[in-house]
Amino acid sequence: MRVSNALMADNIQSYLFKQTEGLLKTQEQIASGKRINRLSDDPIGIGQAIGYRNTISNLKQFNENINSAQLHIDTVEEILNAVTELLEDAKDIAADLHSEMRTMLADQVVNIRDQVFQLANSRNNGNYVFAGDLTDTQPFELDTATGAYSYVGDNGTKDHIIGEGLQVSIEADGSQIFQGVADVFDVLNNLEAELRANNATGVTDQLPLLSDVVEGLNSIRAVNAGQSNRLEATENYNNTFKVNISDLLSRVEDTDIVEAVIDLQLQQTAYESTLATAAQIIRPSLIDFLT
Amino acid sequence: MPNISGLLYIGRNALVTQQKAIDITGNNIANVNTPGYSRQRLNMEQSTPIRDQNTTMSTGVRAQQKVQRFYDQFVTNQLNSENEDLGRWEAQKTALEKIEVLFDEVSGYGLSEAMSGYWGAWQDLSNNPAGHVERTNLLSAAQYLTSTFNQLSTNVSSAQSDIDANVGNIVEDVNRLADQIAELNIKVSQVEVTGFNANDYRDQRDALVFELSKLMDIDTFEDGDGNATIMVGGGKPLVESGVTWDLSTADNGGVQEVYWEDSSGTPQNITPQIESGELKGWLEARDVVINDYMTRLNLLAGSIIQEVNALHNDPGTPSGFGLDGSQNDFFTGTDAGDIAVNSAIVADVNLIAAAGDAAALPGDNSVAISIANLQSGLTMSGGNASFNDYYTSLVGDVGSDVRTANLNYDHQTTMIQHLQNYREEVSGVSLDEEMVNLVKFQHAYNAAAKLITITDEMMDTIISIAN
Repeated sequence: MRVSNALMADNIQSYLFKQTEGLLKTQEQIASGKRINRLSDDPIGIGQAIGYRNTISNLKQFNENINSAQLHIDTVEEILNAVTELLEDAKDIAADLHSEMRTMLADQVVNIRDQVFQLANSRNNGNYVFAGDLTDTQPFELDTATGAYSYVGDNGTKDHIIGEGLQVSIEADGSQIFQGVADVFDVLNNLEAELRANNATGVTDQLPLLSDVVEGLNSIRAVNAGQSNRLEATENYNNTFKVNISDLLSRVEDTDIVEAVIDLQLQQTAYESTLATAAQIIRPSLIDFLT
Repeated sequence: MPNISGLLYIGRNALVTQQKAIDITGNNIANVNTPGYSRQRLNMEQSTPIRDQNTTMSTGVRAQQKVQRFYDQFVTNQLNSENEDLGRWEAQKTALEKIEVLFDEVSGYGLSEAMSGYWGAWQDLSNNPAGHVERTNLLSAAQYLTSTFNQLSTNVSSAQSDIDANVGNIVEDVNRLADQIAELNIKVSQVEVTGFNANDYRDQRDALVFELSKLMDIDTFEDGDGNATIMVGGGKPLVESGVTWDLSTADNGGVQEVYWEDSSGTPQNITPQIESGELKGWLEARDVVINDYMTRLNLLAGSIIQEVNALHNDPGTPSGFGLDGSQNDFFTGTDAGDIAVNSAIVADVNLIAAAGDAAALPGDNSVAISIANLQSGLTMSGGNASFNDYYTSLVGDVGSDVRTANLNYDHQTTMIQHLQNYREEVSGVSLDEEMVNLVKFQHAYNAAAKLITITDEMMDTIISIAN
């Protein structure tokens, strides 16, 4: 093979270009910390990375929704707990153990009823908790003329997305909760009336009804507790899943520093040896030896 | 009978011939770094012998009239055709690398992020459907999404119009090269008709044809008079001996296309017949590859508009009510270029519909949930892909197109390098070789000079005898 001077120079140049290009690429991966710095570095990898990033942001969002749902359930639980305690007091009164204090106890029942009324009209973050979907409407109204309580909310539930295609629905229908098995306000109204009428049987008749109301509240609370557990489990699962996905994402798009540094070292060695040999080859020519 | 003055002629011819050889060696050395230069050699031959009575007498050396040019037509043709592909992939690589950076997915701030922010904002709203903060957040997430779409669309189409400018420039270059090749055709035939070789003109012409082949695919052959004929666009002549035909560009359907003008000056569209070279690379990037990206981006934006609006404002089975009970489209526009949030919603975020029932305001969030669920819904590709899947496949295709262009470009560069090496092997100047030749010719020159000195002395001797 004839070797011309231009051929030698061109080849050396192209080898040096190739090696500096490789060095630059490795250097970029180390400096940016990313294995993929443009789409073409790894088109399949970037597709996976987008998918993982999307999953991570979804999981974050789901956990936010779960927190919001959890907060709501906690609020409902606190309210229903307070109502239950009040009704336990009412049950004590209805047991009619102190027949001589019936008038005083009737005042107490009025107090309990007012508190339950207030609790049933609770607001969370400006929204009525037990108004169904009509969260801007006070759900229970008292007709002062007749002393009757009426529900003006609707049967909506409070829904939250907690996962892809998964929802929890939290009961928000006040009439279901407070007027379902037995109307708590009617029972308390009757209890007051019977106490004032000094009617022993009438008073004790309210006891099983109060128990029914408490029973109803408890069953709602049990459903909520179950949902709360489910939310917590989902959140834990999401968190673990998020860690796993973050790990996968990092494996796809982050530079393996050890590997990159070794690559860099190898490329540098190759580059320097090319420079050294090139310097040796280019310099001498026959002219140096002709006198 | 040997003739003493004949000896002087032999010496003179030898001197002249060796000097000419040194001349050519000098020319080779001088052009060692000239691209496209083919080394030359003076071929020497014995002069015609003289028949003298019963003997034949040699008369020394003479140079052939045609100086030999070391040259391999096959490698040259191959270089030209590989150069066409190099140009094609170089153009595509340049065009697509510009597009690649527009899809800013590597840093995680691209359209994918904007979309997931938008769907997330709907979920936030579903948690608190009456919330003003959630509504405002949703509006800004939606505006970020639309502006990302708009920007991407603008940038992609401006990349397409940049290509139009490039096509025009290349066509001008093609015309310029064609003119130069035609001029050299005339020079080559003028020189060669006199019996010499037009080596330098041929080198120059080959270099120009090589340059031209990078711009577009050409067919080239040489006629009997040494003229290079060049055909483009499926057999249309570009250069024939000293005559050229012009290429031009003109707008056709909103893009610049390439036309060939026949002898009466009537332009004919040869765009579909261009099969390689930079022209093909740019045209393919503009009309096929980038166009496809644009179509898919538009389809994605269009589907988002359609799907969201269908849930947000469904007059058929009335659904999607703002806090005031009114029904409004969420997005306006039809594609990535004009997608925008309905101006009424921009003016009043309470028009955003979270509720699916006008009687269940403001707590109902069924529409917000349905819209948030669109994120994972299989709405694209005939019900097989979610919005994000569809977008990811677009991004993946952009990446692999750039990768393919890069690989092909690298491959072509290596091919060209190998072929250049072959060419250099035949045509390239080796200084070592030239130095050896130089010494060789110098020695012969010195010896010829010595011959003349000795002949001179011999003549002196003869003359002194006469005296």
